[in-house]
Amino acid sequence: MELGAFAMESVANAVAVSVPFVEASRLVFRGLVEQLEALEKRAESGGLEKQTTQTSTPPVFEPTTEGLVSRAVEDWINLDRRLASRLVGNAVATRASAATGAALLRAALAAFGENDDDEQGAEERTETHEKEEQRRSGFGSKQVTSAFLRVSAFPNSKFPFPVCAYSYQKGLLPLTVCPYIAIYKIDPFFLSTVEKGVARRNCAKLKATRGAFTHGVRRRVRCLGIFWHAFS
Amino acid sequence: MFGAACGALGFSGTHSAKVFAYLVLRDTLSAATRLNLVGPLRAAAVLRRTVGFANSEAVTMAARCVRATKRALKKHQNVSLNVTALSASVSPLLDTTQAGHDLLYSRLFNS
Repeated sequence: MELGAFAMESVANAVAVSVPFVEASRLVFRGLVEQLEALEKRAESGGLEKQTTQTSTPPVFEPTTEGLVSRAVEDWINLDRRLASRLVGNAVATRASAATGAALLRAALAAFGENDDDEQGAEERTETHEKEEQRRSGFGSKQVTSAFLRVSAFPNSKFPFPVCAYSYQKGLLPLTVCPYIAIYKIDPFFLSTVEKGVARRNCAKLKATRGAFTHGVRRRVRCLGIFWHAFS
Repeated sequence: MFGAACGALGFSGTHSAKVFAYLVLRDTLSAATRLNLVGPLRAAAVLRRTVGFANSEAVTMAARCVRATKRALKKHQNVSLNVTALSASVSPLLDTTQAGHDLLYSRLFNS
Protein backbone atom coordinates (compact mmCIF):
# COMPACT_ATOMS: atom_id res chain seq x y z
CA MET A 1 0.00 0.00 0.00
CA GLU A 2 1.23 3.48 -0.77
CA LEU A 3 2.34 5.40 2.32
CA GLY A 4 0.10 8.40 1.65
CA ALA A 5 -2.98 6.18 1.35
CA PHE A 6 -2.03 4.32 4.52
CA ALA A 7 -1.48 7.57 6.41
CA MET A 8 -4.85 8.92 5.27
CA GLU A 9 -6.58 5.70 6.30
CA SER A 10 -4.89 5.86 9.71
CA VAL A 11 -5.88 9.48 10.21
CA ALA A 12 -9.49 8.87 9.16
CA ASN A 13 -9.70 5.96 11.59
CA ALA A 14 -8.05 7.82 14.47
CA VAL A 15 -10.21 10.88 13.90
CA ALA A 16 -13.43 8.83 13.79
CA VAL A 17 -12.55 6.95 16.97
CA SER A 18 -10.80 9.56 19.10
CA VAL A 19 -12.06 13.03 18.16
CA PRO A 20 -15.42 12.56 19.96
CA PHE A 21 -13.47 11.68 23.10
CA VAL A 22 -11.13 14.63 22.59
CA GLU A 23 -14.17 16.88 22.26
CA ALA A 24 -15.93 15.38 25.30
CA SER A 25 -12.92 15.75 27.59
CA ARG A 26 -12.26 19.23 26.16
CA LEU A 27 -15.80 20.22 27.15
CA VAL A 28 -15.29 18.78 30.66
CA PHE A 29 -12.10 20.75 31.30
CA ARG A 30 -13.27 23.89 29.51
CA GLY A 31 -16.33 23.78 31.77
CA LEU A 32 -14.11 23.34 34.82
CA VAL A 33 -11.98 26.38 33.93
CA GLU A 34 -15.07 28.53 33.30
CA GLN A 35 -16.77 27.42 36.51
CA LEU A 36 -13.62 28.06 38.55
CA GLU A 37 -13.29 31.52 37.03
CA ALA A 38 -16.94 32.28 37.80
CA LEU A 39 -16.50 31.04 41.36
CA GLU A 40 -13.40 33.16 41.82
CA LYS A 41 -15.17 36.26 40.51
CA ARG A 42 -18.12 35.67 42.82
CA ALA A 43 -15.79 35.18 45.78
CA GLU A 44 -13.97 38.42 44.90
CA SER A 45 -17.20 40.36 44.70
CA GLY A 46 -18.39 38.84 47.99
CA GLY A 47 -21.33 37.01 46.44
CA LEU A 48 -20.62 33.79 48.24
CA GLU A 49 -20.48 35.38 51.69
CA LYS A 50 -23.77 37.20 51.16
CA GLN A 51 -25.56 34.01 50.30
CA THR A 52 -24.27 32.15 53.32
CA THR A 53 -25.34 34.89 55.73
CA GLN A 54 -28.90 35.06 54.42
CA THR A 55 -31.04 32.95 56.71
CA SER A 56 -34.52 33.58 55.33
CA THR A 57 -33.87 31.96 51.95
CA PRO A 58 -33.50 28.19 51.68
CA PRO A 59 -29.87 27.00 51.77
CA VAL A 60 -28.20 27.01 48.37
CA PHE A 61 -25.49 24.44 47.84
CA GLU A 62 -22.63 26.43 46.43
CA PRO A 63 -20.12 24.41 44.46
CA THR A 64 -16.68 24.40 46.02
CA THR A 65 -13.48 24.40 44.00
CA GLU A 66 -12.62 20.99 45.39
CA GLY A 67 -16.03 19.67 44.39
CA LEU A 68 -15.72 21.05 40.86
CA VAL A 69 -12.25 19.57 40.43
CA SER A 70 -13.41 16.19 41.77
CA ARG A 71 -16.36 16.16 39.37
CA ALA A 72 -14.17 17.02 36.39
CA VAL A 73 -11.66 14.33 37.36
CA GLU A 74 -14.46 11.79 37.75
CA ASP A 75 -15.93 12.71 34.35
CA TRP A 76 -12.51 12.44 32.78
CA ILE A 77 -11.86 9.00 34.32
CA ASN A 78 -15.22 7.78 32.97
CA LEU A 79 -14.29 9.03 29.51
CA ASP A 80 -10.88 7.39 29.77
CA ARG A 81 -12.47 4.07 30.66
CA ARG A 82 -14.94 4.34 27.79
CA LEU A 83 -12.12 5.12 25.35
CA ALA A 84 -10.05 2.24 26.73
CA SER A 85 -12.98 -0.10 26.15
CA ARG A 86 -13.23 1.13 22.56
CA LEU A 87 -9.55 0.62 21.93
CA VAL A 88 -9.21 -2.69 23.72
CA GLY A 89 -7.57 -5.18 21.42
CA ASN A 90 -5.66 -2.45 19.63
CA ALA A 91 -2.66 -1.90 21.83
CA VAL A 92 -0.91 0.35 19.34
CA ALA A 93 -3.85 2.75 19.14
CA THR A 94 -4.19 2.77 22.94
CA ARG A 95 -0.55 3.58 23.33
CA ALA A 96 -0.62 6.25 20.64
CA SER A 97 -3.70 7.85 22.22
CA ALA A 98 -2.07 7.96 25.64
CA ALA A 99 1.24 9.17 24.25
CA THR A 100 -0.28 12.01 22.22
CA GLY A 101 -2.21 13.29 25.23
CA ALA A 102 0.66 12.86 27.66
CA ALA A 103 3.09 14.71 25.40
CA LEU A 104 0.78 17.71 25.12
CA LEU A 105 -0.01 17.65 28.83
CA ARG A 106 3.66 17.52 29.81
CA ALA A 107 4.35 20.47 27.53
CA ALA A 108 1.30 22.36 28.84
CA LEU A 109 2.20 21.73 32.49
CA ALA A 110 5.77 22.83 31.87
CA ALA A 111 4.63 25.97 30.06
CA PHE A 112 1.56 27.03 32.05
CA GLY A 113 1.33 24.85 35.16
CA GLU A 114 1.46 26.41 38.58
CA ASN A 115 4.77 25.67 40.30
CA ASP A 116 4.58 25.60 44.11
CA ASP A 117 8.26 24.79 44.60
CA ASP A 118 9.42 28.13 43.33
CA GLU A 119 9.11 29.86 46.72
CA GLN A 120 11.76 32.47 46.14
CA GLY A 121 10.17 33.49 42.86
CA ALA A 122 6.75 33.57 44.47
CA GLU A 123 7.96 35.96 47.15
CA GLU A 124 9.34 38.33 44.60
CA ARG A 125 6.19 38.41 42.54
CA THR A 126 3.44 40.72 43.68
CA GLU A 127 -0.15 39.58 43.95
CA THR A 128 -1.30 41.67 41.00
CA HIS A 129 1.45 40.24 38.84
CA GLU A 130 0.30 36.72 39.71
CA LYS A 131 -3.29 37.52 38.79
CA GLU A 132 -2.20 39.09 35.51
CA GLU A 133 -0.12 36.05 34.67
CA GLN A 134 -3.02 33.73 35.45
CA ARG A 135 -5.33 35.69 33.21
CA ARG A 136 -2.81 35.70 30.39
CA SER A 137 -2.00 31.99 30.50
CA GLY A 138 -5.54 30.71 31.12
CA PHE A 139 -4.06 27.53 32.57
CA GLY A 140 -2.10 28.82 35.53
CA SER A 141 -4.69 28.28 38.24
CA LYS A 142 -3.74 25.89 41.00
CA GLN A 143 -7.06 24.07 40.80
CA VAL A 144 -6.69 23.16 37.12
CA THR A 145 -3.12 22.05 37.68
CA SER A 146 -4.25 19.97 40.66
CA ALA A 147 -6.96 18.40 38.47
CA PHE A 148 -4.32 17.44 35.96
CA LEU A 149 -2.08 16.05 38.64
CA ARG A 150 -5.00 13.99 39.94
CA VAL A 151 -5.72 12.52 36.53
CA SER A 152 -1.90 12.28 36.55
CA ALA A 153 0.59 13.67 34.12
CA PHE A 154 1.23 10.17 32.92
CA PRO A 155 -2.07 8.50 32.06
CA ASN A 156 -3.32 6.28 34.86
CA SER A 157 -5.15 3.88 32.61
CA LYS A 158 -6.09 0.64 34.30
CA PHE A 159 -4.74 -1.23 31.30
CA PRO A 160 -0.97 -1.71 31.31
CA PHE A 161 0.87 -0.19 28.39
CA PRO A 162 2.20 -2.70 25.93
CA VAL A 163 5.92 -3.02 25.48
CA CYS A 164 6.89 -1.23 22.31
CA ALA A 165 9.48 -3.10 20.34
CA TYR A 166 11.25 0.15 19.42
CA SER A 167 11.33 1.97 22.75
CA TYR A 168 14.07 2.01 25.32
CA GLN A 169 11.51 2.68 28.06
CA LYS A 170 9.74 -0.64 27.54
CA GLY A 171 6.27 0.61 28.38
CA LEU A 172 7.19 2.68 31.42
CA LEU A 173 6.56 6.07 29.87
CA PRO A 174 4.05 6.60 27.11
CA LEU A 175 6.30 8.68 24.92
CA THR A 176 5.43 9.49 21.33
CA VAL A 177 6.22 6.83 18.78
CA CYS A 178 9.62 8.12 17.82
CA PRO A 179 11.03 10.49 20.42
CA TYR A 180 14.15 11.40 18.51
CA ILE A 181 15.80 11.36 15.06
CA ALA A 182 12.63 11.03 12.99
CA ILE A 183 10.61 13.51 15.00
CA TYR A 184 12.91 16.36 14.05
CA LYS A 185 12.56 15.57 10.39
CA ILE A 186 8.80 16.13 10.54
CA ASP A 187 8.40 18.46 13.46
CA PRO A 188 5.18 20.20 14.54
CA PHE A 189 6.28 23.53 13.07
CA PHE A 190 5.23 22.12 9.73
CA LEU A 191 1.65 22.61 10.86
CA SER A 192 1.98 26.39 10.97
CA THR A 193 4.02 26.36 7.75
CA VAL A 194 1.39 24.33 5.98
CA GLU A 195 -1.41 26.47 7.33
CA LYS A 196 0.45 29.59 6.28
CA GLY A 197 0.82 28.09 2.82
CA VAL A 198 -2.89 27.40 2.66
CA ALA A 199 -3.65 30.90 3.90
CA ARG A 200 -1.34 32.39 1.27
CA ARG A 201 -3.02 30.37 -1.47
CA ASN A 202 -6.46 31.40 -0.22
CA CYS A 203 -5.32 35.04 -0.12
CA ALA A 204 -4.09 34.78 -3.69
CA LYS A 205 -7.42 33.27 -4.75
CA LEU A 206 -9.31 35.97 -2.90
CA LYS A 207 -7.22 38.69 -4.49
CA ALA A 208 -7.80 37.18 -7.92
CA THR A 209 -11.54 37.04 -7.28
CA ARG A 210 -11.58 40.57 -5.95
CA GLY A 211 -9.52 41.74 -8.93
CA ALA A 212 -11.93 40.15 -11.37
CA PHE A 213 -14.88 41.58 -9.47
CA THR A 214 -13.52 45.14 -9.35
CA HIS A 215 -12.48 44.87 -13.01
CA GLY A 216 -16.03 43.80 -13.88
CA VAL A 217 -17.50 46.65 -11.87
CA ARG A 218 -15.18 49.16 -13.53
CA ARG A 219 -16.13 47.86 -16.96
CA ARG A 220 -19.80 48.15 -16.10
CA VAL A 221 -19.32 51.68 -14.75
CA ARG A 222 -17.40 52.63 -17.90
CA CYS A 223 -20.19 51.19 -20.08
CA LEU A 224 -22.74 53.12 -18.06
CA GLY A 225 -20.65 56.26 -18.54
CA ILE A 226 -20.53 55.81 -22.30
CA PHE A 227 -24.28 55.19 -22.36
CA TRP A 228 -24.82 58.26 -20.19
CA HIS A 229 -22.74 60.46 -22.52
CA ALA A 230 -24.36 58.98 -25.64
CA PHE A 231 -27.92 59.53 -24.54
CA SER A 232 -27.61 62.78 -22.57
CA MET B 1 -5.84 13.58 28.06
CA PHE B 2 -5.28 15.51 24.85
CA GLY B 3 -8.81 16.93 24.96
CA ALA B 4 -8.45 17.86 28.63
CA ALA B 5 -5.25 19.79 27.95
CA CYS B 6 -6.88 21.50 24.95
CA GLY B 7 -9.90 22.44 27.08
CA ALA B 8 -7.76 23.91 29.82
CA LEU B 9 -5.71 25.84 27.29
CA GLY B 10 -8.88 27.28 25.75
CA PHE B 11 -8.60 25.70 22.30
CA SER B 12 -11.75 25.51 20.21
CA GLY B 13 -13.20 22.13 19.26
CA THR B 14 -12.23 22.48 15.62
CA HIS B 15 -8.69 23.56 16.44
CA SER B 16 -8.24 20.67 18.90
CA ALA B 17 -9.48 18.19 16.30
CA LYS B 18 -7.18 19.67 13.66
CA VAL B 19 -4.13 19.47 15.91
CA PHE B 20 -5.04 15.92 16.94
CA ALA B 21 -5.38 14.80 13.32
CA TYR B 22 -2.10 16.48 12.45
CA LEU B 23 -0.32 14.75 15.35
CA VAL B 24 -1.66 11.34 14.28
CA LEU B 25 -0.50 11.97 10.73
CA ARG B 26 2.90 13.18 11.87
CA ASP B 27 3.35 10.21 14.22
CA THR B 28 2.44 7.74 11.48
CA LEU B 29 4.88 9.31 9.05
CA SER B 30 7.66 9.68 11.58
CA ALA B 31 7.22 6.00 12.49
CA ALA B 32 7.51 5.13 8.80
CA THR B 33 10.67 7.24 8.61
CA ARG B 34 12.05 5.55 11.68
CA LEU B 35 11.35 2.12 10.23
CA ASN B 36 13.17 3.15 7.08
CA LEU B 37 10.09 2.66 4.89
CA VAL B 38 10.51 6.16 3.48
CA GLY B 39 13.13 8.85 3.63
CA PRO B 40 12.54 12.00 5.69
CA LEU B 41 12.14 14.24 2.65
CA ARG B 42 9.58 11.95 1.09
CA ALA B 43 7.77 11.75 4.43
CA ALA B 44 7.66 15.54 4.54
CA ALA B 45 6.25 15.58 1.00
CA VAL B 46 3.59 13.00 1.94
CA LEU B 47 2.76 15.04 5.05
CA ARG B 48 2.33 18.13 2.95
CA ARG B 49 0.12 16.26 0.48
CA THR B 50 -2.11 14.59 3.09
CA VAL B 51 -2.45 17.31 5.71
CA GLY B 52 -5.39 18.86 3.84
CA PHE B 53 -7.28 15.58 4.05
CA ALA B 54 -6.51 15.31 7.77
CA ASN B 55 -7.75 18.86 8.29
CA SER B 56 -11.01 18.26 6.43
CA GLU B 57 -11.65 15.00 8.34
CA ALA B 58 -11.02 16.76 11.63
CA VAL B 59 -13.30 19.68 10.75
CA THR B 60 -16.11 17.33 9.68
CA MET B 61 -15.85 15.29 12.87
CA ALA B 62 -15.64 18.40 15.05
CA ALA B 63 -18.78 19.77 13.39
CA ARG B 64 -20.61 16.50 14.08
CA CYS B 65 -19.50 16.69 17.73
CA VAL B 66 -20.79 20.25 17.99
CA ARG B 67 -24.14 19.17 16.54
CA ALA B 68 -24.30 16.27 19.03
CA THR B 69 -23.51 18.64 21.90
CA LYS B 70 -26.24 21.06 20.85
CA ARG B 71 -28.74 18.22 20.47
CA ALA B 72 -27.87 16.88 23.92
CA LEU B 73 -28.18 20.30 25.53
CA LYS B 74 -31.51 20.87 23.82
CA LYS B 75 -32.88 17.58 25.08
CA HIS B 76 -31.22 17.91 28.52
CA GLN B 77 -29.22 14.72 27.98
CA ASN B 78 -25.69 13.79 29.00
CA VAL B 79 -23.32 15.64 26.63
CA SER B 80 -20.38 13.27 27.09
CA LEU B 81 -22.49 10.21 26.30
CA ASN B 82 -24.00 11.81 23.22
CA VAL B 83 -20.67 13.02 21.86
CA THR B 84 -18.76 9.81 22.50
CA ALA B 85 -21.56 7.81 20.88
CA LEU B 86 -20.25 9.17 17.57
CA SER B 87 -17.00 7.28 18.04
CA ALA B 88 -16.63 4.42 15.57
CA SER B 89 -13.83 2.65 13.77
CA VAL B 90 -13.99 3.29 10.03
CA SER B 91 -11.18 0.92 9.16
CA PRO B 92 -11.47 -2.43 10.97
CA LEU B 93 -8.76 -3.94 8.78
CA LEU B 94 -6.31 -1.33 9.97
CA ASP B 95 -7.28 -2.05 13.59
CA THR B 96 -6.62 -5.74 13.04
CA THR B 97 -3.27 -5.25 11.35
CA GLN B 98 -2.12 -2.74 13.98
CA ALA B 99 -2.44 -5.45 16.60
CA GLY B 100 0.42 -7.26 14.85
CA HIS B 101 2.72 -4.27 15.22
CA ASP B 102 4.89 -6.00 17.81
CA LEU B 103 5.55 -8.86 15.41
CA LEU B 104 7.06 -6.56 12.77
CA TYR B 105 10.69 -7.39 12.24
CA SER B 106 13.06 -4.55 12.90
CA ARG B 107 16.82 -4.39 12.72
CA LEU B 108 16.95 -1.11 14.62
CA PHE B 109 18.54 -2.27 17.86
CA ASN B 110 20.15 -5.49 16.68
CA SER B 111 23.60 -3.98 16.40
